[in-house]
Amino acid sequence: MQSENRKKLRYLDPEILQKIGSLELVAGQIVEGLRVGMHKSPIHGSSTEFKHHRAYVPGDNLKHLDWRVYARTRRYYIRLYEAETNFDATLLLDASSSMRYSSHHISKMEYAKYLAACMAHLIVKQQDSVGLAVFDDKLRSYIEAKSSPSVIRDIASALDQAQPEPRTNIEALLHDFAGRLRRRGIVLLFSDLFDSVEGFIKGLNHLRYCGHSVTVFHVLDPYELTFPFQGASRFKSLEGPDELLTDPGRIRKAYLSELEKYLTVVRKACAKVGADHVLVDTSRPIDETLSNYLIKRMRG
Amino acid sequence: MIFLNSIWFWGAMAAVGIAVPVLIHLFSRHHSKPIEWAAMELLRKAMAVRARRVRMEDLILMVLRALAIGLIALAFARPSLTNLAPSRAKETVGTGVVIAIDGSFSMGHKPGVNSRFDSARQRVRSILDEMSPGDQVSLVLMGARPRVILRNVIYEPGRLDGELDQLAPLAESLDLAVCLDEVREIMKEIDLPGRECYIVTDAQATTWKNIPDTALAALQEMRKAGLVSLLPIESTSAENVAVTQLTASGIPREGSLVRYVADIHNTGTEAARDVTVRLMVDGVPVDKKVLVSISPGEILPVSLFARFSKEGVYVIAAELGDDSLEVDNHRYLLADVRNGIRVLCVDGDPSSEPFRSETDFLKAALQPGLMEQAGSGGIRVTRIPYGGLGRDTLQKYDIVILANLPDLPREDADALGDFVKAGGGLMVFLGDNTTHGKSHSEMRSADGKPLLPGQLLESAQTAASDAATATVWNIQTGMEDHPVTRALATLPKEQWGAIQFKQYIKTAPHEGARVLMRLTPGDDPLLLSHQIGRGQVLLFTSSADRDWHDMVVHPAYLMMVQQSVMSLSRKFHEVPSMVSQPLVFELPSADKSTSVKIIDPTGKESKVQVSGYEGRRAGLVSYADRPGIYELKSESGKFSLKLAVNVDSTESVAAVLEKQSLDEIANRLSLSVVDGENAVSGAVRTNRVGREIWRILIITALGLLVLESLLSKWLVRRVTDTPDDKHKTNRGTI
Repeated sequence: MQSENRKKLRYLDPEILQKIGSLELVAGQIVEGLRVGMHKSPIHGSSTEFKHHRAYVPGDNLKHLDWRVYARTRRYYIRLYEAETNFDATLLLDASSSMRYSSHHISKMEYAKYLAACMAHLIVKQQDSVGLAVFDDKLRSYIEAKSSPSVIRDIASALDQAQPEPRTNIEALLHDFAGRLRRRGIVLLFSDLFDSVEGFIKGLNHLRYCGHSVTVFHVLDPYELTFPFQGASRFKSLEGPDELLTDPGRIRKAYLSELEKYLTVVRKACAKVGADHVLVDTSRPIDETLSNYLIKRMRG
Repeated sequence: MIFLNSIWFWGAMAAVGIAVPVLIHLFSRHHSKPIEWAAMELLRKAMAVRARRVRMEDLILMVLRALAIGLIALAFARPSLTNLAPSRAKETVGTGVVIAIDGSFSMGHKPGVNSRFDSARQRVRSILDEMSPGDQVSLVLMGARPRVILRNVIYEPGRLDGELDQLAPLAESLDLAVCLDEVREIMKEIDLPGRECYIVTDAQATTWKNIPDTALAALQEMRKAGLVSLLPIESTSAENVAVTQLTASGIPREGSLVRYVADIHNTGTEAARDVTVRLMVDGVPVDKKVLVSISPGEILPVSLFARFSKEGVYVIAAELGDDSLEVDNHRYLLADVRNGIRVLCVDGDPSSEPFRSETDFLKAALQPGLMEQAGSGGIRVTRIPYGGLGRDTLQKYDIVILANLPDLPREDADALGDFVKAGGGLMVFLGDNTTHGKSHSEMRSADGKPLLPGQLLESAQTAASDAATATVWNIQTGMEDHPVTRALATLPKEQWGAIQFKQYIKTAPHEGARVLMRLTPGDDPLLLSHQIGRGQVLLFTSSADRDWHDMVVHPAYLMMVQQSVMSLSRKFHEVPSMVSQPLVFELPSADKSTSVKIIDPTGKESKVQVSGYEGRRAGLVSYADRPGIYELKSESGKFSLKLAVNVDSTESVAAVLEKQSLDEIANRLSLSVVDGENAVSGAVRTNRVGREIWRILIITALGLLVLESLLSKWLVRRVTDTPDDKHKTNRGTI
C-alpha cells in the first residue's frame, strides 16, 4: 500500500516541492470563492476581515491608509484586509500522441504531468480546490475540483493512468469546459498546442468569456525549439501516418521561422484575452520552470 | 583523343563514380534516419517554403559531385589529345626519331659559358631521354651537306652520349635544302608507326629568312611523313666581328711591298671597339691595325702591308682577336711571289708611230709612267707583231693578250687552249681584223670547249653619215662583282658617261661565262670572262686602241687592264677555296705519282688517288671541311702545293630569326616550335602520345569538389541559423 501510494505520488518530487514550498502561489487574478483561503479578495466589506496594520511604505495605495491611527500617533499605517476566498483550479492535460515526443530522457507528456502534479499539490496546500481533465480528441478522464488533500492522490492516479492518444482536439475540450465549469476559476492548460491554432484561440476566448483565468503551459521539447537535426531524415508523425523526408539542415531556417510565427500567434492570442502563456522547455529542470512561473505571478 | 590507360576500365569506373551519388541519394530515401515528430505541421510549412529551391540546389550539388567523380575517373584513363600527331597510329611504342642538328659555324657562337651548339646538344639529350627501347634514332649534322651520324639505328640508352660529345659545329654554312632533302629520305625509311623529326637550330636569320623552295618542299614532305618540330636555340647575343674578305691590291713580287685589304665586318648589333687586326705571313705577324670602333653592320676595309724578300708561296692570314665566334676571325690567302708578271701582247695592227699601234695603249696601261722601264710595276710586257704563236713562245709568259688579231691557224689556237688550261691567262681585244674573221669563234680547247667566253656575232657601230644623231654606247655602271670590276666600281658614276663606244662586236655569252661589263643601250656584253682548265680568258668586245672608243684615254681603261692582268695572273691555287667546296689539283706531267698526301689545317694526313684523263693527271679532295691551309705533296716529292680555304662569310652574321617570323614559318608548314630547353621533354612527350590532359582533369575535378563543398556550406548557412543560438532565443521566451 505504501509503495502504491509512493507510486501515485511519484510526480510530487519532495525535493521539488520543498523548494517550491517556501513560495506562495499567488493567483494572477482574484476570483470569487466560496471557501476561506489565503487569497486576497477583490470584494472589500462584510466579507473581509481586518488583519493588522503595517507601516506605510512608498507606493502603497493611499486609500488603505488608516487616518485614525495617523491622528493618534502621527504615523502612517496601512490597514490590511484579507478576504477569505478560494478558487477552483482545473488542470487540463493534453494527452495526445504529440505529447509523447522526447528528444532526451523525459517526454513532453511526462514533463507536463510533473508540472500538473506540482501545481495540484500547491493549490491544495493553499486550501483551494483543484481538479483534472485529461484529454486528447475527447475527454478521457475528469476529476472535479476539490480542496481535500485526497484529491492529490486522485489526480496523481489519473495522471499516472493517462496514456497518449493519437489525436488532439483542444478546441472542443475548451468549449466543453467553458460550459462545464459552473464557477469562475483558474484553468491551467498543459499542452504542446500542436493542433489547430484557430481552434485553440476560439476555445480560449470561450473560457475567458466565461470569466475563467487561463494559464497556458506551452510544453515544447528543446529539439522542437531548435530543430538541430542533420542529414537525410524521415519524419514520422506521432499523430498519424504522415511522413516527411527531408534534409533538416537545409530547412532549419524555414522551420524556425515558421515556429516563431506560430509562437507569436499563440502569444498574441493569449495576450489579447488576458491569458498567461508560459513556454516550457522540457530540457529545463521542472523546479526552475515552476519557480520562474510563480515568481512571475507574484510580480504580476 | 586516345587513352593511355584502359578507357573501358576507367570508363566503367567513371560510370560507377557518377552513379554513386545518385545511388546514395536514392538509397538515402529508403534508408534515411527515421524520426518520430510532433510538429509535423510546422515542418510541412517549412518544407513547402524550401522544397523547390532545395530540389534545385540538390540537383546542382549532385551534378557537381557526379561531374567531379567522372573527371577523376577520366583522368585515370590518361586521355591524350592526338590532334598534334595526325600521322601517329595509336600504338604508343615504336617511334622513329630523326634529330637534325644545325652544324653551321654560327652554332659555335659562344657569348658566355655555353655555345649555341652546347645548348643544341643539351636539347638532343632531352629528346633522347624521352625515347624508349625499341625506338629508332637517326642523327644528322647539317652543314653545307648532311653528315649522317646515325641512320635509323635501334635506340640504346647511353650509346649516343659518346656520339654527341664528339659532335662539334662545322666550319660551314648551312645548306638547308640539301640537308633537309637527306632528312626527308631518312624519315621515309622509318618503318615504325611514329615518325618524328626534331630540327635543332639557331634559326640564323640569313638562312631561315628566305628558305629555298626546295627546302620548303622537303619540309612539307617531312610533315606529311610525320611530326616535325623546330627547336630554336635562344640567343641572347649576336655580337660578332669577322674578317669577311682578304685581297691583295698589288702583284706580290720579290722585294715589293704588297697591300692587303682585309674587310672587317661587325655583324652584331652593338659597336665593336678596339678591334685588333693582324696580318700574318707564314704565321709571323708583319702588320697590325687597331680599329677604335666599328659600327653595327659596318664593313671596314683595313689596309695591311707585307714585304716579300724572295720568291715563293707564302701563307697570308688576316686575324682578329678572340670574340664570340672564333672560326671567322681568320682569313687566308696564298701569295705566289714571283719576279714580276710576264705579259705577251700580240699586236694585230702594229705601227711605228706612237700610239698608232694596236697595243700602244695596252702597254701604256700596263706600265704607266716610264714605258721604257720594263718591269717597274711588276709587269714585264713583251710586244710582238702577230706572226704565229708557238708553244715554246707561250710557255715563257704568264699572260697573253691578243689585240685585233686576224684568223688564227689551228695550231696556234690549240697552243693557246693548252696554255690557258695549264693556268695561263688570255685576254682578247677585237678590232677591224677580227670583225670579218671566224677564227676567234672557232678557237677551242682540247676538250672541245670554246676558248672565248662568247660567240661573236655581228658588228655594231655608229652610222658615220649622221654624226649628230648617231648612237653611241656607254658602259653600264652596274657591274658584276669580280676582281676586275671591283676596283672599277669605286669610280664615280658620272665618269662613266664620258666614255663613248662607237663600235663593238655583239657577243652571245657561252654557258658558264660571266658578263663583267655591259654597254648601254642594248645591254650587250663588253667584257666577258670564263674559266678554262686552270686558266682564265677575258674577252673585250671592242678594240684595244682608240679606233672604236675613247676609253683608252680614260683612267678606267688603265684600271681595267691592270685589274685584268692581275686577275689573269693569279694562279688557281692563289684563289682561296671555300669550306665545303672540293679541292682539285693537277700534277705536272713529269710527276707520275699515283697518290697525293693531303695535310689538312690541323695536321691530319690523308691520301688521295690521282686519276689520269687525256694525258693529264689530277686528284680531288672531296670536301675541304676546315678553314686554313691544305698542303698537298706527291709521293715522288716533285709536286707540292698549298691551297687556302676560308669560311663562308655570310654565316658570320650571327643574328637569329625573330620568334614571330619563325612562328610564321612553322604555322605555314604546320610545324611545331619548341621554345626553351625545359619545354623539350614535354614537347617530345606530347608528340609521342599527344597532349595529356589528366592534370587539367584532376585540377578541374578538385575545383568542382571544392566548389561543391563551398556551395553546399553556403546554401546550408544561408538557410540555417546556429542551432545553439536559436535555442537560446526560444528559451528566452519562457
